[in-house]
Amino acid sequence: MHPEIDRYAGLKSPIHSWDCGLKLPGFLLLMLVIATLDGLGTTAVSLGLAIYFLALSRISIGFVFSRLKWVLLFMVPLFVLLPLQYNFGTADGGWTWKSENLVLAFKITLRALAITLLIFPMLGTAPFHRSMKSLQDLGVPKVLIQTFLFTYRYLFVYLDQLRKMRIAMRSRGFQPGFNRNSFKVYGNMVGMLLFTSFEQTERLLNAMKSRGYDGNIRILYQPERDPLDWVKLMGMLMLATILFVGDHLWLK
Amino acid sequence: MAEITVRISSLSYHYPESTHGIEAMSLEIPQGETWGLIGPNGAGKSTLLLLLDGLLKPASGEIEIFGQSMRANGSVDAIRKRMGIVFQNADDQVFCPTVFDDVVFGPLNHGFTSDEAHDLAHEALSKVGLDGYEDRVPQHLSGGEKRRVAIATVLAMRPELILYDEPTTGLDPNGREELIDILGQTRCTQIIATHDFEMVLNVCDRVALMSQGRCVQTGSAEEILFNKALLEENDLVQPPWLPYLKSINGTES
Repeated sequence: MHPEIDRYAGLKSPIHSWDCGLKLPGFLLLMLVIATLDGLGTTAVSLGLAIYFLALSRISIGFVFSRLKWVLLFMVPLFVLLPLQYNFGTADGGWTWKSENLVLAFKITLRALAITLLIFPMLGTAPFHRSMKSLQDLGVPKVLIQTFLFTYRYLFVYLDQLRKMRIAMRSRGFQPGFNRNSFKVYGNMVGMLLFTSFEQTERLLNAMKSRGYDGNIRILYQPERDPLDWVKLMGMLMLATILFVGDHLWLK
Repeated sequence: MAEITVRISSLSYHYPESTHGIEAMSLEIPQGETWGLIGPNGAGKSTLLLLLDGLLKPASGEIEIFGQSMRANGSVDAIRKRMGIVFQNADDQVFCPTVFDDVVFGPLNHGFTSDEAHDLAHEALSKVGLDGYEDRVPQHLSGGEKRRVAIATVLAMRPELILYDEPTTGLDPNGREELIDILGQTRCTQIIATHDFEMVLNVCDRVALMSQGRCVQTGSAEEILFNKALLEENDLVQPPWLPYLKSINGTES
């Protein structure tokens, strides 16, 4: 297991022991239902469920929040953009503030948080390549899986490369600043990183092809499903159904 | 007479917007021999290896490996099952989360069962002296260890032909010695593109001297490497210690 990518895959919890081939559909179903929720109450319950699953998985809360801050950062503008509306074609025109849209922004944020939180127990509780194999078995297009697989795996390699480039720049006297020259240098650095990444990807693909790779993931993993795994899947199905039905009753 | 493993006839390949490539090259490599490909940068050594592995398509000419033409439908996949390539940069070759995942990748893709792949991976790691490295992260290994993992990834496929692109580049003296030992102990046809003359003398049965995409001369390692004039004609420099080696050991390396 990769110490960075699979940092929490070696822990023990009811979610870790759940076979990937059933865990993924279970979580994906729940996430799909959460994405369709409209009631504020059911959306709040879904966030509560996500927090519960996260706690159950024993993944570090600090680790989760360090990733979650980016989602929150993306959500903050919604609380301004959604209520603020421009009245086209009306006599008075201009901008108006619709407070009811604040609730909408709140619901979107809750849903996004719930779904993002569920990703951690779904993917963080098994080795990454095993999760990808399960996605492949579920019929997710190969191109998509390969994109996930290599993006995630090589992110760390490219970050390392970026670090080396920054050291090389500093060793030649570059002083980072908030000016045109610094932006130009950073632009060149990113361009070069993309260029070298592309070349490395080509070489890597050659290495994989020469070892018989044909786009299918093959790993040393035999699904070990026991009745409890199916019970857990049924539990997820029930939760998703209750949320879905509850949301429709709530709306009524 | 030994069976021919690799037969190259009038092979040409040109990179777009580049003068480098392969020009009407012909060569025959018998089964079980270890050949060194030497030549200056841009001579076409790495290009030839990529062509042999089917990663580049020839502009003209023919490559036959194990008696099968690489132009025939489906032949590249069939040939690849019996051969392996070790690339110049080990970082391009080891890409899995752990050493074991990487070594088992080839056997699994080539249709070995999980149990067989498991055994082959352990055997290959043992051959390159990396027992106990199974759970290590390849990116965190030293250059020499990474190179040995790269070789293990190929050995695990039980190849009959192995291509090496500059296998000793960037290794410290110990790592280089260990690698030369591994190459010397590997029992199959091997083609090694290299600038490392000492390794060629230690490991290679025959040498092909390449220049400007052509095979200029073939011969035993001693015939080629002790011929200073031939090397200089082809932009290579004979290491200063080589003549002393010859005077001490005759033609024995």
